[in-house]
Formats: sequence, structure tokens, C-alpha cells
Amino acid sequence: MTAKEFFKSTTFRCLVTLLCVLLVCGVFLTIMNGLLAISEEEKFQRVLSSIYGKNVTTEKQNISDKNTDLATAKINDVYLVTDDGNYIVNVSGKNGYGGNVLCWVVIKPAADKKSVGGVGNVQVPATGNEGESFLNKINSSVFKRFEQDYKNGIVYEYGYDENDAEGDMYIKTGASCTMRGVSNAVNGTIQFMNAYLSGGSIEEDDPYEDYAYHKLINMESTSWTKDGDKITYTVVTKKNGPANPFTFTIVINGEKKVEEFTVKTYGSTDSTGYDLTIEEYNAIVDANVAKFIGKDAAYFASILGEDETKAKNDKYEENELQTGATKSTTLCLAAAAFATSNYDLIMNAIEYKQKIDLEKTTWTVDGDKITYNVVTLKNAPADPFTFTIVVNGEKKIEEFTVKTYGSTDSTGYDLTIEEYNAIVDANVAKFIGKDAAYFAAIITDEMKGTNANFAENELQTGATKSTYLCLLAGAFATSNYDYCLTHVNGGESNE
Amino acid sequence: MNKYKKITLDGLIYQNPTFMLVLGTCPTLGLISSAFSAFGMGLTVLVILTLSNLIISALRKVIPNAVRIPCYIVIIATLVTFARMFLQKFVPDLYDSLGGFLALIVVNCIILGRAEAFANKNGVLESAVDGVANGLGFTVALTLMGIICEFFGNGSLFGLQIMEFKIGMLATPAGAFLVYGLSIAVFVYVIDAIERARRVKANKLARENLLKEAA
Repeated sequence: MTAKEFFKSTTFRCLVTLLCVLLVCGVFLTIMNGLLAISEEEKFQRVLSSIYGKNVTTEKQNISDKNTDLATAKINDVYLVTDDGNYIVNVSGKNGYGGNVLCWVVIKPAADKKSVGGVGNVQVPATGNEGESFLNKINSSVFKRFEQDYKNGIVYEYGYDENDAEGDMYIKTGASCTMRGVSNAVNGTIQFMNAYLSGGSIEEDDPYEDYAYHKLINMESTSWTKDGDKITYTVVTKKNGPANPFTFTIVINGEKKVEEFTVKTYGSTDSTGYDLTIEEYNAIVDANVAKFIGKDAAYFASILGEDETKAKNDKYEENELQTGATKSTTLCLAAAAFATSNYDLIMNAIEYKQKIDLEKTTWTVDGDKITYNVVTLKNAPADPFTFTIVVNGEKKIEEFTVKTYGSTDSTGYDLTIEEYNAIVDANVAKFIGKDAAYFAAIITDEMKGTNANFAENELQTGATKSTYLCLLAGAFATSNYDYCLTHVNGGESNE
Repeated sequence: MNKYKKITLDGLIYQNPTFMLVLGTCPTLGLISSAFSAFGMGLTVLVILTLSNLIISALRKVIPNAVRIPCYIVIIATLVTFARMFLQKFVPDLYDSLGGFLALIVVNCIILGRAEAFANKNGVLESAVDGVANGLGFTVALTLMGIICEFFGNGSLFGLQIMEFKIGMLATPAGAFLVYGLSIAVFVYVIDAIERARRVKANKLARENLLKEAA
């Protein structure tokens, strides 16, 4: 085909037509975008107008030096509304339906301006929340409830939980996951603003801060069992430089000394540039851990020092430990230090205290019997219960009486409070003669009584939140028998 | 029959895109849980459909047959993008309530269908009337179903709470599917009944005329 033929062909005509259509459309949209585009400032003013119904002036707050990425939400911007002294916070609530839920939350400071005094309007714009497919199911009146509920002290917890579909939902909307994100956003905002207004900042909570020498320990994978005065640990460490995580079995005896120290999984690697094989590294580790038997917390602390993540070479020589696999040996030392140092803490830990009001719970010891007065916390929608529980010398329930019922009729089921109480009574009657193992089998790892477990143990469902509190009280009383036998009468001294 | 009347009746009733041709089901099922969203979607489609029919009809002799579909898509996409900008700027409430379905108008088969089946072959004025008629047919259908779904699903009408009684499922796309199916059945039944009555009447008239002639 010649050039002349090409320019006369349909192909060329098609090409030109397509390009012309594209060009005209492109130019049109460019012009329209210039005329109709909405600036960020205009978007912000729209939000302000929808909240206040009028134009207000704001001052953007500098939060660049604050921790804005919280567990429940990420704080994007904070503005002070100069007209009324409130703050308006742009926040992304985590764990929505399609990711984060972008929200605007008005925060009213307390009279002294040092803390949050109230929650105002909550706005969840459709723009920026395209992933929240069911957002339009949430009626705008729902967002207005945050304000009154904050005054009433209602905690916004929340939304759909995969393990407990009808769990502790703050408000049922038909868009539970989105509502969870919104609730997280409001919670995060309250947390952040409390810290911001008081002049502080939010530190990441370390849930394991009570445990010594835990920096190199993978606490979520580490477990232990108690048998008399011995504790058997399965310690999983973190990575330490080139050394991958180790797993150890460590037995600590009543003298708080290492009785057994076995490496279950080695983590040494040959990537350090030294001329040793993995087998040679493992041999060094084995030789070193063999020296740990009979040693106590002081021995390990003297080698690790205050840093707890490094051991110096002179300490190795001093204690006749081999170098050459120092990163791996440090993990062994950290595991041993963790196991020995936390002996008392673990031995004396109160178990099943999640839903127990420890400040109000008391017990008295009469011979080998313990009589508990257990006060639980709320397990929404169930309010706190109070029980009298007697545990005998065989660590079994001898008496289990409900002193104060906490069932409410706010769950949407067609039962009266009397019917809930009757279910609770029928269930607790089955607790007589049961020990800690019985309760542990029903209360799952996620600390929720499941319907299957209820059925297996012939417990009635229908008042599961209340029965769960009964189960936890039973578990608390039986599991902590040894502890309570040797400790004071509970109450505030529990802590 | 006047050709414009025929085009209008076809778009509104006899070839109603929602009830008779079952086109545009995605926004139908997604938005009829709220009468306001359904009405807003209908109006938006009406405007885009009319404009796209108009432009495509005007350009039908310029656009080569081989590249007509890509050209139509570019034109429709441009109009939808413009509609999005316009609604976001001037009717933000409607923009928010339509959500992702607004952008999906680009692939709404009513618009591409009318471009291909009608605007491509007819003049500008006829195409514009066809766009308005089909758009109105779509709007009325969506709004009617939106009223039914919102009234029984949420106990409200255009956001105004009317009663406490509600059948929650009707406010979901699954409920919308049921209402859609039932609406099609009722619509087709009514049209059939009218057509049948018209035929009976015409036959009766013809028979009477024949009898008269025979007498």
C-alpha cells in the first residue's frame, strides 16, 4: 500500500475519527474539570456546613509530632473551630467493610480544655468511602447517637465479629462492618484528643510490659503450664539479626532454677559471613545451653545486662560460654532469663479475670474451702452478675448461687428477664461438682462460650452472654483455688 | 400513528428498557432500595441517554462503521464523567447516594443499546425523543420499584419515615430482585391484557362490519 492509498483508506479514516473523538472529549472534560472541580478546601467547607449548617472558621492544628496511627484509627487532621471552641477531626477508622472508614468527628473539650468533654456530630461522607458498599444502610440518626451515648457512658463496642456474629454490637444497622469502622474512628478520636488536649501523646501499649526479658520473646506464641511448683515453658523467640526464631522447652523448678533446657527448633543460619556450617552453629548453641541447667535469673541477668537483647563477649568468657554463635546464644539466654525471671509472676497470676471485677470480688478461706463473692463486669447486653461460689478441697464447685442477676431484655429476642434468669439458674445448677477443667473446656481460647460447647455440656442457650459470665466466674473460682488459698481476701488488694 | 408518538410509547411502555427489555439491571437492583436514589439514577440516565443519542445521531455519518462502538463508548464515558462532575459540584447529596453506580452508567446497556439500535440509524430529533422516552421509561420504572422497596423495606418514602413495620429483606438487593421480578410480571400482564382487549374489540368490530356487509 502506498502512502496515498493509506491516506485514502478506511483504516486512516477510522484512526482520524477515533483520535478526533478522543481529542474533543479530552478537551471538553479538561475544560469542565477546570470549571467544576471541587477543591479540598471546598470539600472541607461542605463538611463544616453539613455539621454546623453555616460557614465557620477553623484553625488547622499541628499534629505532626504526635502518634496518629492508633490501634483502632488513623488521625488525619485536627481543626479547631474558633467559633465554638470544638475540634473537628478527620479520621480513618480501621476494620471497616472495605478497609478504613473515613469519618469527621466533632469533639467537645471539657470545661478545663484538658480532656474530651463530649462527642458531637459524626459525619461519614460517601466520597472517600467508596469501598463501604452498605454505608447507605446506616441511617443518619445513628451517627447522632454517639453524642448522647457518650454522655450516658455507653462504650461503642462493636460491630461484626467473625467468631460471634451477634457479638457486642454497639448499634445494629445492617452494615455491621462499616459501623465497626465508624465506632473505631470515634474511639480512636476520643483516645487521641484526650492525649492531645492534655498535652501528652499516645504511647503504644505493651500488653506484656509486666513480663521481664520479653523483648526477644514472641509472647503470642509462647506458652506455659504449671504443675505443682514447676513451670514448663514452650518459649518461641523472635529473630535476632541473622538468627531465625528458636523454640525451647524450659522447665523451671520450685527453686526458680532451670531444670531442663531443650532446643526444639534451631534458628541459626549460615548467612553471617563466618566460615561455620549450620551444624557447627547448632553445636555451639547446644554446648552453651547445657551450661544453663541449675542456673537462676541472676545468672542470666548478669550476662545479658540491662539491655536484655545483647550479651557481651567478656561475659561469655567469664561464664565459659562459647562465642561464634552469639546471636543464637543471646536468644537462648533471653529465653532462659524470661523463664526464670517471670516464675513468680506466672505462678501467682490470677486466671480467667477478663470479665471479673477484681476490685469488688472477695473470698474467705475456711479450712480447705474457699467461699467467693464474685462480681463480674458487663458482658453486653448482660449487666454485671454477683455470685456466691464455694469451692471445696478437691477444687470442685460445692455451691454456686446467683445473688444478683444481670440479664437484660435489650437483645431483640422475645424473652422476658424472668425467662433469661430461669435459663441462667438451670445452667448454673449443672456447675455443682465441676472443676477447672470443665469450665476451661467450655470457654474457648477466644474466651467466648460457643453454642457447640453449650450443647455438649447440656447447657441451655438463649441467655449465652449471661451464662458466659457464670462460666467465667466458675472458671475463676476453681482455677485460682491455690492462689486464693494462700492470698489475702481479695478486693482491692488483688491488684 | 405519528412517528414521535410511536417512539415515545415504545420507550415508555412497549419497549420499556426495564420491564420489557430487562436492560440496566445493575443499577436497578443496586439502587431501588431507596426511592430517592432510584429517581436520581433515572434522571441522570435520562439526561445522559438523551445527550448520547443526540450526539451519536449527529455523528452517525461521520463515524466509520468499523470503529463505531469505541467511539460510542468514549462519548458515553465523557458524558458520564461530566455528569459526575456536575452532580458532585451542584447536587452532592444525589452524588453521594448514587455512589459507585454513577460511574457504572458508562457500561449501562440501555445507553449503548439505544445508540446502536436507534441513534445510529435515525435523525437527531427522533433520537433525542427516543432518549427522553427511554430515559423516562427507566426513571418511572426505577422510581416505582424504589417506592415499593423503600416503603416495605424501610417503612419510609423518599427518606420520610411513615411506619414502623418493615420487611428488611426488601431493602436489600435480594429483595430488590424479587420486587423487580414481580414488577415485570405485573407490567407484562397488564400490557398483555390491554393488547388482548384491544384485539378482541378490533375483531368484534371487524365481525360486525362483515355481518353488515353480508346483510
